[in-house]
Amino acid sequence: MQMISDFIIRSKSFILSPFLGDRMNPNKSKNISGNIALSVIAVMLVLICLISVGIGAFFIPLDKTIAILLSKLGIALPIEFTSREHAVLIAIRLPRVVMGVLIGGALGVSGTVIQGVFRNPLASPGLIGVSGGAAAGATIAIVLGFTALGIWTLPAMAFVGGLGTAMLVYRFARRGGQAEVTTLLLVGIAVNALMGAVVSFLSFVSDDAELRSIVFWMMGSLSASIWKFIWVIAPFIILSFIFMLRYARTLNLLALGDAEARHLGVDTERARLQCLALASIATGAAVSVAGVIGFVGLVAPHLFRLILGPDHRLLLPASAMGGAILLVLADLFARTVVSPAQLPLGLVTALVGAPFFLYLIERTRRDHGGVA
Amino acid sequence: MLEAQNISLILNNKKLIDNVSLKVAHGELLAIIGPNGAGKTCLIKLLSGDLEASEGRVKLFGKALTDYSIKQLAQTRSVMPQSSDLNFPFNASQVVLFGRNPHLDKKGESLADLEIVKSALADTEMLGFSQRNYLTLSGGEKARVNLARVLAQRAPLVFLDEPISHVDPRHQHGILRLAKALANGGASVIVVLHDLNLAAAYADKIAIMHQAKLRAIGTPDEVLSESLLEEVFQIGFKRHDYPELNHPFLMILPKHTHAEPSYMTGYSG
Repeated sequence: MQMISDFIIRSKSFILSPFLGDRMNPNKSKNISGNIALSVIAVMLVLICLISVGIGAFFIPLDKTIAILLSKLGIALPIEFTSREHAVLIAIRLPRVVMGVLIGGALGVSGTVIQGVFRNPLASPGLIGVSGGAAAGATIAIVLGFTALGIWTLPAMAFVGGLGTAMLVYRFARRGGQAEVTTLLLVGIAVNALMGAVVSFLSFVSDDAELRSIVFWMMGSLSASIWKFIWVIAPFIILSFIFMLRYARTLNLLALGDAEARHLGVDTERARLQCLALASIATGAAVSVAGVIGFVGLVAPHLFRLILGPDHRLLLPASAMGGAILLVLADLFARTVVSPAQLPLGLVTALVGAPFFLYLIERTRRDHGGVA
Repeated sequence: MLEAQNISLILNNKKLIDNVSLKVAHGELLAIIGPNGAGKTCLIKLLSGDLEASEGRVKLFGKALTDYSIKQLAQTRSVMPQSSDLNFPFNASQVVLFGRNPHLDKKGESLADLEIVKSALADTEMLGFSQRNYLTLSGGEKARVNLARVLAQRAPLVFLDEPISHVDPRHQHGILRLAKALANGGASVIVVLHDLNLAAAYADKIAIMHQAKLRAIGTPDEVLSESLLEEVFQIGFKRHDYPELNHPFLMILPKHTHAEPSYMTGYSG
């Protein structure tokens, strides 16, 4: 923990603060300094990806990794690599890291959007029922033995379950054209409990093999990382990310509360519905292929709010890249620490995320006298 | 500029506003006074478009309030809330910049907008606090940041809902002087106040709300009579018209105050 706290303090004061000082100064444009901060995070993400694709049971050095990747783009470097290295990287490691980036990014940015919509730094994508519904959908597919769509059956059922549940929560919370935030939260809790009951019941009636599949899915994993899945979830995640970026300023204003956001020209009900829909699509796509992965959507927004401040124009891209970094690192840990076996990814994110989150809460309480 | 025609508000079969008509002209500062629960905040919500009237209608620049889009309305009227419950640690200048939102296009704020933010913070004597986390400000400081946000919005119709309840005496006068300056600049300002003497000192007109009805509206000299205030507020008033003041001065007389609290009676003998 000391190491992590050192990291935050150091990264805050030495890496980012010189730029943040400018960003906070109304005399200077926010863009220059904000872009530098985002660039630092982007460089970190690229470096971590390049290094972690090389690490595994079969080690590929960084120079060869770069040579192989560039050769795919038609650029030849004077570095030799074997066809085996090429095959391992392109068919196994790279899809896994790309999947990690997509899913971590989706969870990170969705977490930020949901916290913004709920005006609550403790909210997460799980609150509106996406993960719970996806779990129910996946469990139904496993236990009832659906195979209609081949390998797509499970992801499709999870995706539909997740989105359907989020819609159900929203429709139920809506009254007289308005969905009160508190009502939405409470309905979310109730519907999540209902989905939990579905999963429990189906687990109860399942046989051993099915139970194993359910448990495995509920703990999350990137082991289903094949290019075929990536090509399908990438458009959902990337498009919803781009649309979410357009709501950055609206999310800032929503922080003031509904009445005041409306006074300042925000159609709050529409903005909230659209933001929740986008976050649900991104989260749904992510969990459909990776199962339930907790804490990334909670920790990434928090971490970057602490470093960069609460402006969603910086926070949305930062938490997407940050979520990607967190998940790629967590997966690296999950697949190497007990190699050749793999730890469930959700276990790693919870194991690292929960204590870290407690630390963030404690730190915030010390600094500001409140959780924010 | 702003005209309410026989507006009523009925929620859950309860009449919260009962047939109120009033006009506010350019450059006018209207203070709304009245006891708790008389309907002051409801009236503000109807006039600012937060709530739609059950009966009657409100016209702004001759156009019904309900015909404005959310964005048009935001460019035309600003509202300073009683309190702002922000949960994220924005700093004061970011909060004030929110006030520019109705005027921004997709590109976001320009240097001109940042200049407006700066001058709004200067007007409310909050410039030194511009980098401070809003959440760590005191109640009075928050109120001044919220006022700066309203100033930055540059709307011709301004609502201030109890802007001075958490503010020290010097800044109470500062805030009302700013409200007066807005009115002198051509804006219409509607402010809910509890301090009758401040209302008398700064308002061009005072509206007295009582039991969901508009009991009286007029200049401070016209409406602040001892008998009317005693009837509405259920407490004694003594009015002085000092020659050195150009408005009435009111003193509260504790002659018929509340009944003795019942829990005290056991101790009397």
